[in-house]
Amino acid sequence: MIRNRAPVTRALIDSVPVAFGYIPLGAAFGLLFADLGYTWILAPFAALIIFAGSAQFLAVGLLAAGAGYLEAFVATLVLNARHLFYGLSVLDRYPVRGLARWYLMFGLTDETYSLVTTKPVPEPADRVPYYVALTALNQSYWILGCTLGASMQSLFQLNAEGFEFALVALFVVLLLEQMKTMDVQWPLLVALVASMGTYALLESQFLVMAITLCVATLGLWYARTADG
Amino acid sequence: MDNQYVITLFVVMAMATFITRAAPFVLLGRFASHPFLAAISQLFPAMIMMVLVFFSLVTLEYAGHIERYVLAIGALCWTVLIHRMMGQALISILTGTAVYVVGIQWFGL
Repeated sequence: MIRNRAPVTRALIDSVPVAFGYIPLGAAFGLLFADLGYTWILAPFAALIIFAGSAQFLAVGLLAAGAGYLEAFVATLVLNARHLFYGLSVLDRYPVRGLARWYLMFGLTDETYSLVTTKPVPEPADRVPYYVALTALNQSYWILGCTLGASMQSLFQLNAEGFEFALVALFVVLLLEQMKTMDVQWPLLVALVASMGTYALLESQFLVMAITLCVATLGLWYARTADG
Repeated sequence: MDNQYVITLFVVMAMATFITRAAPFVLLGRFASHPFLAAISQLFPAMIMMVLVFFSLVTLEYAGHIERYVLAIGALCWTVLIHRMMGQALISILTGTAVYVVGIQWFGL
């Protein structure tokens, strides 16, 4: 990487791989969303205010099921809980105050996070323009994808059956990426058993209970290792 | 279609998403540096993903078709295999989804 290139140009180059990911994935969301019969303009609206791939795919499922607002709120918190750990690792790079700080917090998606943590940290004077440009470019790719998918679907009435598997594939890939940094496997077995057990008892309402069991297990594990 | 319901649901989900992203910045110095968080920072996200893989699998529309369970497991294995081989998230997601879509739309599973 050339260090002295203008921060916005550098952000443009660095964000290209995200464009290849966000445009098709956003289009898949737009397609599924418009397939529910809603007006296409609400797809870019979601991309503008939510800007979270997995949460927006979850929204399609929640809308189809006619879910309540509280249920949607809790499900989104739980789904995005991994973001709690993202902020910790970029705290020292992001500005400490100002509008830029709020936008960067808002736009800390999986992909933005992976770029911010893997690309070299710019010179202090270049940091804010570089990170803001990177985040804004990523969001514009996402809005573009969501708009394309939803407008195509309302124009051509495509057969969207089966596309909901994109959500499964997305989570599988995120899981495989998380597993790379793990040195133990037992938590995954606990998570699987907790999911199956609570699903058998509660069916589609199992999500919150399964995650509570995961947190409780980690709490017990931490208490034991901290003692010993 | 009830646009007010969709817009409210999106706003609620946007708030929840922002809370999870902003929390570590706002809570810095109080809870963010707690050793429990540091200890689980590696394990918890992976556990959540495992739960979400299960959640997304069981919420697919199977409509009582046993072939669709087999197809879903097949598409899942394909996604894992391709991701292990190539490590390109987009290729894994798009080809995994393609396997499922083609199975349903072309082969009528």
